[in-house]
Amino acid sequence: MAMRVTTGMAMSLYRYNLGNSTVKFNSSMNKVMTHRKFDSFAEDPTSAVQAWRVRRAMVDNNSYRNNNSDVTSRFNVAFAAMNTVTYDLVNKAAKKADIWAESDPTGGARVQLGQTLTNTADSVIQTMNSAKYSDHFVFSGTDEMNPPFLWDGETLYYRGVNVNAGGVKNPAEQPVPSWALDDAGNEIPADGTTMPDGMPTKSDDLYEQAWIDYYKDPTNAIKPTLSPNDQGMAWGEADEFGVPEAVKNVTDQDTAYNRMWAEYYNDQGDLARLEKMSKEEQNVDLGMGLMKDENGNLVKGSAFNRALPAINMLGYGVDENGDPNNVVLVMKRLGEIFSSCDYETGDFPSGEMEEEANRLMDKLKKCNDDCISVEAEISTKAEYLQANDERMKLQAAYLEEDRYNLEEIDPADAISTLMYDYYCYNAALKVGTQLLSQSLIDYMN
Amino acid sequence: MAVIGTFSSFTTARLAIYASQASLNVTGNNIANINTPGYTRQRMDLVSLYSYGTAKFANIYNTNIGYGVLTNGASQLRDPYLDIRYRDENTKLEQNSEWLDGLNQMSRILDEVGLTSENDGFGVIEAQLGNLKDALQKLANQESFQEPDTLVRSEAETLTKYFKQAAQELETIYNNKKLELDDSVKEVNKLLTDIRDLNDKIRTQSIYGDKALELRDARNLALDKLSGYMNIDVTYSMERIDQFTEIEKLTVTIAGSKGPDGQPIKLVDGIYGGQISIPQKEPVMNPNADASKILAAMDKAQADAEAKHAKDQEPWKTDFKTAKADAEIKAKKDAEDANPLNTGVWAEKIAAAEQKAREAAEKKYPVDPDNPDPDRQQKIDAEVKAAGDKIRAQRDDVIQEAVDTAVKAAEREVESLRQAAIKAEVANSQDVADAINEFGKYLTVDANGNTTGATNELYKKDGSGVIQVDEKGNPIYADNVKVYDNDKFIIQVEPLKDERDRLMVDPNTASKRSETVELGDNVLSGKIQGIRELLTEEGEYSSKQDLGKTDEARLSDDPNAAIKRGIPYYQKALDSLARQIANEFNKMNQMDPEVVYQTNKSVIDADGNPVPGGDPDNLQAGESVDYTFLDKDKNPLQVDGKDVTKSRMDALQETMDEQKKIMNSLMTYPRDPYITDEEAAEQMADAQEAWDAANEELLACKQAIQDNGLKDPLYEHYNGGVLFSNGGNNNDPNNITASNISIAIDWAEGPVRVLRTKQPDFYDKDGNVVTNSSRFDNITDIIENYDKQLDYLAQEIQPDAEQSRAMFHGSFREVFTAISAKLGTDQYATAGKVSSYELMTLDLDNDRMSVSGVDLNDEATSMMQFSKSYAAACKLLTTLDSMLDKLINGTI
Repeated sequence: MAMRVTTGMAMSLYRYNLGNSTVKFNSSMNKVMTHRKFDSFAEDPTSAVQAWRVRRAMVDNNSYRNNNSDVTSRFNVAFAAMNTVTYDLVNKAAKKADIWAESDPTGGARVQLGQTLTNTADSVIQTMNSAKYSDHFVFSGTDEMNPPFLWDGETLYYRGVNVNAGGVKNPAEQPVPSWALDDAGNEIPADGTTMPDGMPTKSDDLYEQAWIDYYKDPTNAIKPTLSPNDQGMAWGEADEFGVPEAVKNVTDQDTAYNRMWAEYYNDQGDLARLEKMSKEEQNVDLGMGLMKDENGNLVKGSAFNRALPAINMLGYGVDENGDPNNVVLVMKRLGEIFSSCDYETGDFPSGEMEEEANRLMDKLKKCNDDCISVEAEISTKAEYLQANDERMKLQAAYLEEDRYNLEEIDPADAISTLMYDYYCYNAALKVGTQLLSQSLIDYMN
Repeated sequence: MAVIGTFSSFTTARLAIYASQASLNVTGNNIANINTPGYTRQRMDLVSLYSYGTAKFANIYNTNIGYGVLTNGASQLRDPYLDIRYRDENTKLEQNSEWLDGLNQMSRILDEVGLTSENDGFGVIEAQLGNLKDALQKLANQESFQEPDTLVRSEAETLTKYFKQAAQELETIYNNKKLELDDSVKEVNKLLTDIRDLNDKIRTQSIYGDKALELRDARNLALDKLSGYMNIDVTYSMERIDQFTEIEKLTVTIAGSKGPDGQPIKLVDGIYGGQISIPQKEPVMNPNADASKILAAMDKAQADAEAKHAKDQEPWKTDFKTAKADAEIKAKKDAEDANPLNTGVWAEKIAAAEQKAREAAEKKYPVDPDNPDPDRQQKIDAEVKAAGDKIRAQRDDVIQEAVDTAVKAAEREVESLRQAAIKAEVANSQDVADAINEFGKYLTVDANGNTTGATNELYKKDGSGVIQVDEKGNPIYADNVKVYDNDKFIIQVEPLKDERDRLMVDPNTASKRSETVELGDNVLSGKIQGIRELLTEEGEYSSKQDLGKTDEARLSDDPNAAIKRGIPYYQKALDSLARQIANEFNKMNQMDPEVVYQTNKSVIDADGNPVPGGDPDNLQAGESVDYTFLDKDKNPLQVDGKDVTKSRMDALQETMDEQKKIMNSLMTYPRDPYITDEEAAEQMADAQEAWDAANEELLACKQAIQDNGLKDPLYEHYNGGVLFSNGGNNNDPNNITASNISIAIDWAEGPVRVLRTKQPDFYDKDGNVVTNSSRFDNITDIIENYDKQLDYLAQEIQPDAEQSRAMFHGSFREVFTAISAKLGTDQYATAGKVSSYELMTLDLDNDRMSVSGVDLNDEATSMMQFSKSYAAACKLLTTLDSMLDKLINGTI
């Protein structure tokens, strides 16, 4: 016997199916209205997780693009400044100096060249100091709230440190003064009573003064050829820049020997400071996979270093000849030398100065090349930033596409589903209106 | 007699009319109840009336035919097997529906798919986590020391508000579910009472021969409802009422359960019904519990005692004899005194009887003067005496009756003493005590928490055996019973009682009465279990004890607890995330104070005592450097009159760690070493107090350093400190959860900022500080850390959690997604199950309705059928009438 289908069963099934039909119709209606395939994790957990991943990447992408745009602006400022330094100032000045020096111009021109170089050097300092992005000095390394350079008329300071550091020679490596040697080239012994011939009574050179002190009092004074670690005052532990603690206590009243070493250590300390500052980094997250290694240091290439310390742009320290590496100082010194030439004849005050001028001319050319390299480097980095921006834009587009594919409905599909569900719903309603009306009772008299 | 008499045919017609009428009534009742929930369609049972046997001298022309139709009562059309299947599925449906309801409610908080404040689908907490990172990027890139970190702070504050809001909403769901559990327990109890009462009514009706169909419908409906709350088995058996009558008895048990007696746990048994409840404490059950062993010991003790105190044994033999004799003598004397023969009532009665007899005898023997009887007086006297003796005999009977009663009373008194002696013997039986100690239901412990044995008495009772209650009316647990707080909402079935609160006899329990049965964690299914699991399941945060991996077996043990995730799991997962975010930010935004602030160095030994003359730069074995922090005048900083030193702060931190360990061990079950609840609570309070004191002092030291400490000039820029705290009015970074995470007050008010760098400045050669005013490497580190894949350990939040491996591994945002995804996946799977159970339940209900439901077409057909048969019976009547009319009036 077939299963009985009772009125209650029919109603119960009807309710269940009408409910389902309503839910389906409602769901497809929502999809069409919201354009979304799902509105909760539960509807499609896998797609929802993927969609969140994509959305997180979109948020980050937006952040990276903001950062990228900001850094690009800084680099534009930096590039413009370096461009000015390189082409308008250094290049022109260097070329002029090169031409005038080679063509051996007359004295007036040489003095004028000196003035030009001095002015150019000042302009370079001004240009570097005025390169600002918002309130930030772009060439100040990690101290963007303060200008990078200070010229006090004698010394060029980068963030308070002498740019020309490194020129003070190690006393332990200095040659013994000629007057302290006999004819055979041997050191004349010091007995405190017999002084070597030609020994001055006093010298401005601390090293020479130390020898003088030694000859005068070999018992108490220290022989300058010895390194301070071998003998002499307890210098104590060195700070992070290699400057011993005791150096801070050395005053003008100290012996020439101590002052000599203090001067050396301070100079080396400044050099170390410059080196530290030249390596300063300001790493920005531009979506390159910011990551640290096991030592807690940022992995190179995972962040973008936006720091542009001016000393890296223009050079710092001295070369083996004691000449400055900094283009401004080279120009300043050249300016000084040329300005001191005879206005009429153009003769250099001395042969050493002429030799120095020649060396510095070569140096200026090299500095010029270095500046161009630095400018090119900035340019390359700026190009990278532009490319990165393009990459980010493209990535944003891909992400948006991914998101669209994951979350958004296909309108045609969604609308046809809606129509189908609508028909089903209407049909269900129709069934409902006629379900109870037809039974045997309706046909009974 | 199978011969129908002439007028009997009228009876046939009358019965037919009655049957049709009754059937039509049943049809009407069916139609009337077509929409009544639980109504089972009825049918009038019609039987043909037939007389068995053959009359020996019957007319040979008569044929054996029936006498018509009888209505044998209405019956229901119902298939009990479909009921069983329907209820099984209904239990699963309701459990999963409840679970789904909980998940749905939580998903409104944690599932942010398609949700957003700006209609862009980026979520709320998720978006805020992104906003915070973006604010950090902006801070790194654009701001400087001089500019405040307002944007980061405001984004962080919004994030904390979202966390708190989510935690609060989860708490609300939890509390609502707790109320729902209470309501469900009440509803179940109401249903159990209804079923018990219906059983009682049906029983009574059945005794009177009524089928009580409507009551059965009501009972079935109640059983259907009950099946939604609990997994039940319904069985029908026959109960003997008297020598001739057996009636049906309905028993409801928890399906698949096994009580202490090895039988399914009963909820209702005929006219006895239990109630379920959630006790305050969860007792530790004796794994060796066995009531039958105790019963056997009791039976033996009873037999021994009865043998020992047999009536024919001394002292009872003498006691009985003496008591009887004494009672007899005393009663006889008392009765005779109370019924004097020569005075009072009896004397009057005798006199009256003798007078009456005399008068009667005198009438009987009249004086015949003609023939006087010489024996007349003698005869009269004899009759008078007989009448008097009859009354005297009555008096003797009364006296004897009084004596008998007194003797019986004396016997009963001795017997009750004997029974009491037997009872006392059994009660004091060492064997019974030993059996209870070994096989009792609950474990007992001594003051040190060591298991001493077992008992059947869970609650403390007064001298008269009444359970003692506390001020809230909750029963007080016996001191020697090991109990835990019932935080797993363990359910118990209370003893079965009838409607007059009389306990059901249960020969299988130690008390031989129905007893309380505690239900294990997984005994129940259905709605109650669904809510319980939502309220208790902690997933990966489950402890060893929760998983039943310790030596101590508890009712709440569940080996599968680690994969069940209810509300507490999601609360704790959110706590994990909030704490991780807070801890990471706090850690990255602080430096060791001795690095940043100026100190006086000194030397301390391994015990932290100062070493006089110790050289910090030349430490000897066991020595270490201590730092005393200085104030702005270069004097030692002081808190509570003592110098603020690194060793002091380290010691405070150590104290806190130690106290935390103690608290964790106290929270871990089973406690090691075992201690009582009171002691544990006391130790917990002590540890908490010590921890609070140390924390307060440590925070005060840190605050003093931050507010008044003298910074190293190279760290003048340092403005790090605690960013997130456990309250908006403090800087306490401990015990942060989603519900208390706040912006620390110092960050809110300004002294503390997001630390841009941990690098020191440096001096130039003249001793001037060269600053790094725009350095932001620490912010870059924080950003890097923001997306770092970190481990999330359950123990961080739940110290006794069993799982030691990370339950989440990912960045903050990934973990939030992972939490939501777990919820979503569970929801997805449960929705599928609910849908399938719903369909299955509907199918089975339809199957039931197919048998039991009312169908209009059916009923219309029946209506026509019975209407026709009614008309036909009437026609039969008129036909018979006309036949007889013809026979009687037309023939003669």
